Amino acid sequence: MSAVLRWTGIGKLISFYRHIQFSAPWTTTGSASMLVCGIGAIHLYLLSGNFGFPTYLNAYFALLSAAALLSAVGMLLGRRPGWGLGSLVALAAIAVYVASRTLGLPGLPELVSRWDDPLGTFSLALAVLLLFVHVSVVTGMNVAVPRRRDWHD
Amino acid sequence: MYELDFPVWIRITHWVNLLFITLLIRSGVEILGTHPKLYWRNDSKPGTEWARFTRKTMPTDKLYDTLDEEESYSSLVSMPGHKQLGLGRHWHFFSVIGWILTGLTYVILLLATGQWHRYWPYSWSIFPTAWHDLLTYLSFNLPPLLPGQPYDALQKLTYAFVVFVLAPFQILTGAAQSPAIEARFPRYVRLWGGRQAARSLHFFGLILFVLFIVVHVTLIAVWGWGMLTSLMIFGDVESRQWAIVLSLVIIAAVVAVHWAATKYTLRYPRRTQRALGAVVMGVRKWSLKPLVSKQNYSAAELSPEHRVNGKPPISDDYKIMAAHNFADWRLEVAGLVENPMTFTLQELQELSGTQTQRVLHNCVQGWSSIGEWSGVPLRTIVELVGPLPEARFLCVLSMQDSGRDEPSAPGQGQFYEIIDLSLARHPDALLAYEMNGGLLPIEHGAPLRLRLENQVGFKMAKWIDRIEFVSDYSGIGEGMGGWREDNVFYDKNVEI
Repeated sequence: MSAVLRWTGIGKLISFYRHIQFSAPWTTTGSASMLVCGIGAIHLYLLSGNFGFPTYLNAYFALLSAAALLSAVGMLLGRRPGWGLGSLVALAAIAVYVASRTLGLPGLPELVSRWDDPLGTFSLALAVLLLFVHVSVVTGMNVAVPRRRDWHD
Repeated sequence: MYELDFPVWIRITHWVNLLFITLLIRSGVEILGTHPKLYWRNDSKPGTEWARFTRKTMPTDKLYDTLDEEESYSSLVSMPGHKQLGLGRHWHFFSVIGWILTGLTYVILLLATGQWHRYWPYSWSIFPTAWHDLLTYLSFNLPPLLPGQPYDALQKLTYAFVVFVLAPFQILTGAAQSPAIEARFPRYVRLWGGRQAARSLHFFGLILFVLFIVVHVTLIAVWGWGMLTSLMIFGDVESRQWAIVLSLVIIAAVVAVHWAATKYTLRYPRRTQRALGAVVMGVRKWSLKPLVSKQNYSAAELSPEHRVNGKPPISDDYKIMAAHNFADWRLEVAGLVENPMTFTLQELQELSGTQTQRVLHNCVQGWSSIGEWSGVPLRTIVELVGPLPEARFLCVLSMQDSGRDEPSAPGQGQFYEIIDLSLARHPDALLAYEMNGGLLPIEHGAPLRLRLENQVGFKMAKWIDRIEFVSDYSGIGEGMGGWREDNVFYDKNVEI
C-alpha cells in the first residue's frame, strides 16, 4: 500500500498537510465554537418556527441545538470532548439533511430532492467547515486551547 | 446611458491578467518558501510565528542562520521552485510590473469609456439584493442580473471588491515590504502594523485571490462556460461552441507559458536573471533607488533578538583576530582612488562624525528586525580616499568564504558585494562597528559590516576587510554584482 502511495505520488499529496501549521489556538477554538453555534442556531430556528415538523424531528432539533451549545462551551473551556461532540453534531446535521433529501424522513416525503433550501446548504457548509477545523486540530495543522505551540527554534 | 458590454480591451486585459496573476501567485509562493514563517511583529522572533509552511525544526544548541530554514517547494506550486529565491523574485517583480500596467490600462479605460458603471453601487439597495442573490446561490439557483447590467448584485460587489480593494491592497502591502519605502516612509509601514504584519496581510491577500479564482471559475461553469467565455473572447454570445474550444486553448496556452518559463528558468538561470533583471532593475532605478532613509525607531522598539543570516568565518586568522578584539585587523580601501588607505578598528572609531541609526533590517528572505547601528558613514571614507573620475562602484570584500563557512549556501569563494558609488554616498550608508550600543557581535559581522538602509540585508556585507573602487564589475566573480548575484541569481540593486 505504501509503495502504491509513494509510486503514484498520492502519499506525498496526502502528507502535504504536514507542511502547514498554525499557531492560533484562540482563533481556531473561537472559529469552531462559532461554527457549531451556527449549526445549533439554525436547528433552534427550525424548532422555534412553526414549520409543522413531526415531533421526533423537533426533538432531534432540540437535542442537536443543546448538544451544539454544550460542545461550544466545552471547546472554549478547553475540553477535548467538546470537540468530539461538535463533530458528532456536524455529522448528524449532514447525515439527517442528506437522508431527508435522498431517502426521505418519516412523515416528510415532500423533502426528497428539495436541495434548493439555502438554510440547509448553509448548515451543510458550516458542518463541513467544522469537521475540517476539527481534522486540522487532530492532524496538528492547528492547535486548540488550552494547547499552545512549542516552537522554540 | 452606457452600454455595459465586453469591449475588446476588457477581453484582452482579462486574459493578460490571468497570465500575470498566476505568475504572481506561483512566484509569491517561491518567495514565501524561502522563509516559510509568518509573524505579526517586526522582530520575527523565533517561535513567535503564527504560521509555518515547513516541517524543518532548527537546533537550539548551536548557531543556525535563516538560510538553514529555507524550504524547497515543488515547481507545481512555486515559480520556478526548488529553492530558487533569486529567480522567484525576478519573476514576481517582473510579473507585478506587467500586472500593474495591465491593471492601470484597465482602470483608465474603465473610467474613460464609462464601463466603470458596471462596478459602481448606485444605491444601498444593492446590499440586500446581493444578500438575496447569495440565498439564491445557496439554493442552487442563479439570481437575476441587475437591469441593464452584465452582473448580478453579488457579482458586481465581488468584482468591485477584487478590482478596487483587493488588487490595490496587494500592491500596497507588497510595497510596505520594500526596504527603500520602509526607510523613506517609516510611518507608512506602521500604518500596516509593521513589516511583518504587512507580509502576513499580503499572504491573506494571496489566499483571497486564490479563493476568488476558484469561485469565479466554478461559477462560470455553473452559469454557462460557453456563454460567458464567448462574451469574454468574442464580446457576444453568438459563438459559444468556438468559445469553449478557444477558452480551453487560452488556458492551455497560459499553462504552457508557465511550464516553458519554469523549465527555461531552471535550465538557464543566468539568462533569466539577466533578461528579467534588466526590466526590474530599470524600473527600480527611478522608482525606489533614490529613496533615502528617514527612519529613527525608538530604543524601546529594538528587537531583543536580531536574527542572523550568514555564518562567521571559521579561518584561524579570523579566530585569532577575534580573540585579540580585532587589534590586528585592517581595513584596506584601494582601487581607483587618489589616496589608498588602511585603517585599524581604532582609527575608524576615532574618525569624526560617528553616526548612529535605529533602523528596520529587511532580509531578502522576508524576516525583519530592528537594530541600532553605529559607525563611520561610508561617504566619509569615500571622501578620504578620493575616488578617481572613472570609479563607479565599490566592491566590498568579506573575510567569509562561503563554501567553507556557509554549508547551506550553494556556491564557493570569498563573499563580496558590489554597490554603486552613488549609494555609498547616501547619508545612511554606514560602516558599522557597533550594534545596539555594544561592539558588533561576531555573528552580525564583527569587526565591520555595511549598512545600506534602502537595500535588503544581503547587500550589507559582514566581516569586511577590504573595499575596492572599480569602474566595472563584469570581471569580478561571475560579473553579476555580488556573491549572491553570482551564485543564487539575486538582483544587484535590491530596494525591494
